[in-house]
Amino acid sequence: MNKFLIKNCIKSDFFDKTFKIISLLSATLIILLLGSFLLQLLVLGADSIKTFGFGFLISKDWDPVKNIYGALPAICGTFITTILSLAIAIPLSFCIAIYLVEIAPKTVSSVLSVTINMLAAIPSIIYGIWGIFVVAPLMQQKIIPFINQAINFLIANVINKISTLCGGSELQFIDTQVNSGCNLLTASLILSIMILPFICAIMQDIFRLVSPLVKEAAYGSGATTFEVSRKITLRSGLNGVVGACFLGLGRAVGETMAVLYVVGNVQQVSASLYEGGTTISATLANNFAEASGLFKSSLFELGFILLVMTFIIQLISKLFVKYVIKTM
Amino acid sequence: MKKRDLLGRKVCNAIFYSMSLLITLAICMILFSLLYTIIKNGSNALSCNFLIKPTSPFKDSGISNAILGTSAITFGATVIGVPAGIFTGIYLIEYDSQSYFSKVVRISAEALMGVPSIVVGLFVYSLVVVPTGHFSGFAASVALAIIMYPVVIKVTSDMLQMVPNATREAAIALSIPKWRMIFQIIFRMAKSGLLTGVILAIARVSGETAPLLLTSLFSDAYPTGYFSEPTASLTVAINENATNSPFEYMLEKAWGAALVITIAILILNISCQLINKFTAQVKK
Repeated sequence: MNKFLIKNCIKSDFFDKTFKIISLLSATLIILLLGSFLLQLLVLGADSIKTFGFGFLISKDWDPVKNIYGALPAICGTFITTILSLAIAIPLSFCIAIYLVEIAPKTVSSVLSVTINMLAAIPSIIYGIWGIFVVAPLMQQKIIPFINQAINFLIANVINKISTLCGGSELQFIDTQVNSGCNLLTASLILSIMILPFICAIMQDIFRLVSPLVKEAAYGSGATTFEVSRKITLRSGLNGVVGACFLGLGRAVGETMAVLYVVGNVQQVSASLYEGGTTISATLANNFAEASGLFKSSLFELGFILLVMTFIIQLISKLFVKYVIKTM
Repeated sequence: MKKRDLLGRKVCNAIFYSMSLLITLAICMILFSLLYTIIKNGSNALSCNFLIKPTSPFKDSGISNAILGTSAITFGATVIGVPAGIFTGIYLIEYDSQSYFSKVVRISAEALMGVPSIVVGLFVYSLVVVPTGHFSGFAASVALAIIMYPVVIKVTSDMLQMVPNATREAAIALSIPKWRMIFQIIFRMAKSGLLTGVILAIARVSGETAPLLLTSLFSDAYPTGYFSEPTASLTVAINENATNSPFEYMLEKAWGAALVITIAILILNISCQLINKFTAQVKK
């Protein structure tokens, strides 16, 4: 073999090896990163774990002056806003996805889906300032009084009639005064608008994959579009739809800036959606700058709780898709 | 089987039709209301001065340092995050796609993708800010790179997966070294998908605020101390001006900054969608 060729071979072999090693290293990096996430937050939160123990999770106290901290208001707020926003976003995005895939003409559908994707691109802080300057006043002056009136009307005309028919006493709805538009309901609404495009985009992809043969068979036997989309499209795409919902859940749990602006940032546990509250991420963003010592440590523990929550959500979604859907 | 009358079913269907149309239009209206608010409030602030003067608490301030800061932070994040993500994606597809190790890598990438951005901020605060002793733009770049990393991995491995195996076999038959095969043949085939995926990831992280609050903070100076001093960024500038200020004109600045960053991100996004559409048509 000629000398030049051998040299070339050795050279390329060297390159090949380095290339492989670089790839391997960067692949290892992500595992290290994930491990150090858990470790670092746990170590920095250790102070607060030692001081408060498991009581941290169920304590309502939040007093930086006395240095006593509890995570219950933040955890509760996170649960309430997340579940409410999913409850709003999932049915809406189902309707939109079905409209775009099944009903709308092709050009209309492509224009609309680009528009809805644009919602996902807008940074969360923009939603925050839009929420606090536009949505919150609107909620306070128009929407919440309207909801109250509607509930009042319902109670006076329907529920009380039924209860008097059954011999029960009359219910009275107390029209609560709303002192601010920044509350858990507003936060959930903004959150639902933010996660909607993500859920909707995946649902569209999944509904497009449903075999047209099955759909045509259903149409052929006389089913309406509504029945086809409910019984065929949704049923056969259920796996992916559940995955999409969990993705939305994961996003809603960790969302910070939009929620921070409109949630009110009050450390309290309340049953009313018209009251201000807080979430884990909002507590972190709001207090981190001035925290030190035990305060900072308890914030790190909150971060750790949030991290574990997102992992648990991912795990459940994997298991759900793997076991529950298969048996259905 | 239960019999249901035709009229009821047809009414149901009609309600569903109109409901879904209304909901779709309502969501589009929300987007337009959002854009309208930003443009209406932001255009008052927008002027040449606004773009070339640095931020300050006074009336004739601008956002030039924030624009430069955001660019520097995002550029730093791209330099750290994109190569790491691309190499990991290459490893997963080209070198080792079946083993236990690569499964763990995949799962960790997925898990990291779901980590909230503020937790990434906390992590980088403890990793970079505490040991070095000061907030810095570099710390923010690290945080954004960690957010980008799993996204780029997913894009790369999805795109490389789509390249047919016959191409690889043809390259190997010509005894091309593997690294040249990957860079000169496979990357060329996956070019447009990779490009748009990476641009979208950059667009996504450039709008992040929460991690920056914990890593780069804010300053009124130009980002000369990128590695050692707090660095300004557009998103934190919005936050500072919108929440901490008693003055009406600072609020106006916040809307102006919001307009600038929204326009930048939307342009990136729309151009990506156009590239995607265009290449899809060419392939057909």
